[in-house]
Amino acid sequence: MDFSLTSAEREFQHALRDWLEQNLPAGWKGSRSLPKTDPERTQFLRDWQRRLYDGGWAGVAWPKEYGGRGATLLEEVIYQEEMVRVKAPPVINIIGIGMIGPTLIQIGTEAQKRRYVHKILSGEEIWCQGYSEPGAGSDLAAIQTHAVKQGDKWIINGQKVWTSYAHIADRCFLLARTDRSGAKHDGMTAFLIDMHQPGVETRPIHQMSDHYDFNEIFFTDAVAYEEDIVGEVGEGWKVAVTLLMHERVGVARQVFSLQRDFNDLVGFSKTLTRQGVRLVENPVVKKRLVDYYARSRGALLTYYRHLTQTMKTGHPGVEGSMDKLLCSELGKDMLGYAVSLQGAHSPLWHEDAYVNSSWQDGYLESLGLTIAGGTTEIQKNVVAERVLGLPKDIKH
Amino acid sequence: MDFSLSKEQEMLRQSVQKCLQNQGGIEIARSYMDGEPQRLKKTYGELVQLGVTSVNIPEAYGGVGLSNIDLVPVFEETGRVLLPGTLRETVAFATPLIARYGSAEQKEELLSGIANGQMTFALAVVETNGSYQLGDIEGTARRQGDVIHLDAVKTVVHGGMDATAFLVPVRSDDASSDGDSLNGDSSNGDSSNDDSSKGGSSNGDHEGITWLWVERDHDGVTVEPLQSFDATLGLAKVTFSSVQLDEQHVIGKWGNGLEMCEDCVQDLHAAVSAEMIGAMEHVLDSVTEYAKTRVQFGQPIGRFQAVKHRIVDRRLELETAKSLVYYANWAVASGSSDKTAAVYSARSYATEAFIRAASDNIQLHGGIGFTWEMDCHLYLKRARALENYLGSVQDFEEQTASALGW
Repeated sequence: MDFSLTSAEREFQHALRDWLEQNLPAGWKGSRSLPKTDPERTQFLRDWQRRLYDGGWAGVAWPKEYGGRGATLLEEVIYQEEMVRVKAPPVINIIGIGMIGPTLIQIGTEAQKRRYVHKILSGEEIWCQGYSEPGAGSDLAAIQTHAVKQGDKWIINGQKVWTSYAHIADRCFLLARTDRSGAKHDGMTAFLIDMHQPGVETRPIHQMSDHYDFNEIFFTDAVAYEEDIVGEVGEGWKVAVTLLMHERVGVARQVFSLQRDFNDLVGFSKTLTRQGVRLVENPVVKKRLVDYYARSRGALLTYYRHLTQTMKTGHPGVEGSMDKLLCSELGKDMLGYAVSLQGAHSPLWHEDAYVNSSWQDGYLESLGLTIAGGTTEIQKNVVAERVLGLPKDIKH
Repeated sequence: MDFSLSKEQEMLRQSVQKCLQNQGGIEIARSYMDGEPQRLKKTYGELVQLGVTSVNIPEAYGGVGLSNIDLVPVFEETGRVLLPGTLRETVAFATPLIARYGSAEQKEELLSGIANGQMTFALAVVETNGSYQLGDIEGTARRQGDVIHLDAVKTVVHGGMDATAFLVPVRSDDASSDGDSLNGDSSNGDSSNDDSSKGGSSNGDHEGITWLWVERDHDGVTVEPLQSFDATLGLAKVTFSSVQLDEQHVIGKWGNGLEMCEDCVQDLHAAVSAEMIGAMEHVLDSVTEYAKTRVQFGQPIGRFQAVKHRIVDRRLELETAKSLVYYANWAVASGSSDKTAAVYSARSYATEAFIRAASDNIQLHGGIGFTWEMDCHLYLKRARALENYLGSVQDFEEQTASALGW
């Protein structure tokens, strides 16, 4: 048992800290707020990614020959930890950098690598991932969006939903049905779609957090070509799974955000008073904070235990589902409490928020984190069936 | 970074597991409950042969010189079979107490006795007022010339029926006078405890506590069994009536017992917590197995999400508890600055998680889980008995908060 970093890992950490110190966007350290509306917001984020790219910090886990740093697993975790620590702006092409680029490097054709990979890292082309549909949420293999071959083209019709960044994306990693004759996990194919074509329309979704990160995408005779297929026709499910395997540090970002939120919550409870007593000294509040201390530390340490296993086996295990469950559920609970502690002021939002809106914003966002990327209920099935070996749900 | 037990630590687990299984696993506790402690005695002897009682004894005194992190797999395994007896108190409290505070002679005699299995210790702490606070101790030790007179009634002594000796904290008179003042010298700066665990509890009531050790067969010692819903614990009431002891029976500095206790009790709580996660893992393994095989409505009940999700919820709590407990033991072993918060938060979390797991285990087994024949109840009873062992959840939470500076 050893919690220390090697000298190489410390160097990595210090290099990143120094770089962030010099390169966080001007004014970011003070307000930490993104421009409220597009196109300023998107431009801000594109600029940030470009800066990361120029500094060599856009895709740390990517192989060096593709412009990455070839970071080890633990270095990638350190990267996430530092980014959370300084509350760095989000990386706009996160889906491209985190999953699509590495997938193309792994199983893409030479032409696909040449055409796409570099622009993913530089942020010249923003990517989204077209998976969920109105009738295929938790049951992803139920997708109906279909692609039909006509000559040298594939004609795509259907609808995707909850697609992050689709409104600004240049390209989409799309899962579509190409054969309806067999079992539902068969007959799917992964395409790389040009979002800037007449048959593609995106509509932003107004989320309960008052943000517009998600979209619907409507495909009406949209076109893809043979060279846009990833893997083989009919192998889409396998490709989709390959893509998920590149989430090799799992919920690193969330787990570090939890620690930061916990520390902020304690700090917050020291500034609030009730009947002249600081909330941190109120026995009822204190009990709750101790519980959050144990659970947030527990989530972090559990993440480290699973990470140790990943480092030893070389691939992320199904235990990632446990980390996701622990983090997302605890986050919702804890952020809700931070709002609740504000008493009568708790519903105040945006400019009128009691302190600032970040507790309210964080709480409202947290309700999506137990749904996105596999709902809590699906994750529990995964743990039950794949970790504990309990009987599978009845599925059709 | 490597947050896992080492190969050597896992190997020790294997041998302990094998040893316990050879002796019948849970049957050791079952036969102990039925008034037959022979199987337990034999098991203890086997564990001694494996070197379990020498693991954390310094090399200078014939031990292996490792720390409590190396004992984690041992306690996980003893917890898994609800091992009765005094292994925990002996190894996780007496050994560190004597190794850190004992005289050279005590280390020589007592530690070698622990190592070879001849000596086992129980903690005679709680008095009839039920308080865990050493400040509430009423039992006394008075010096008269070279003789120390001990009078105390201690109750709910875990392993009291089995220990060969007792560790007894008592209120001691001021060594520098023969009067009856209870005020110890608050300026004796011998404390090695620079941790933040004292947390505002140091007032006059805590002065003048001294740790004694007393042989079970010493004149004036009476041990009476207590009935408990957890009959695996060997609970006893121990009366020390005009017991006369020599200086050799005083551990550490006269009047300095509080700090010694605050230090070593963390080792003990870390060990208790390790037992809890071992027991919890057993409980969850068995309920998982049951859910795979028990058929109702034409299918294994583990297919129903009401059942499987409940098992997963408890499993997640086990994962969390295990992480906290491993870390707490590491923090104690390495003297990490967050060790007090780590130990007490692990203890309170593991305690409540164990109770929930043991309780759900009964529920998910249905009617059969409510029977004496099934082991389910033994785990629930152990969970409840350990819940308030040398502190309550509320105490542990307060200690955590205080260590965090709240």
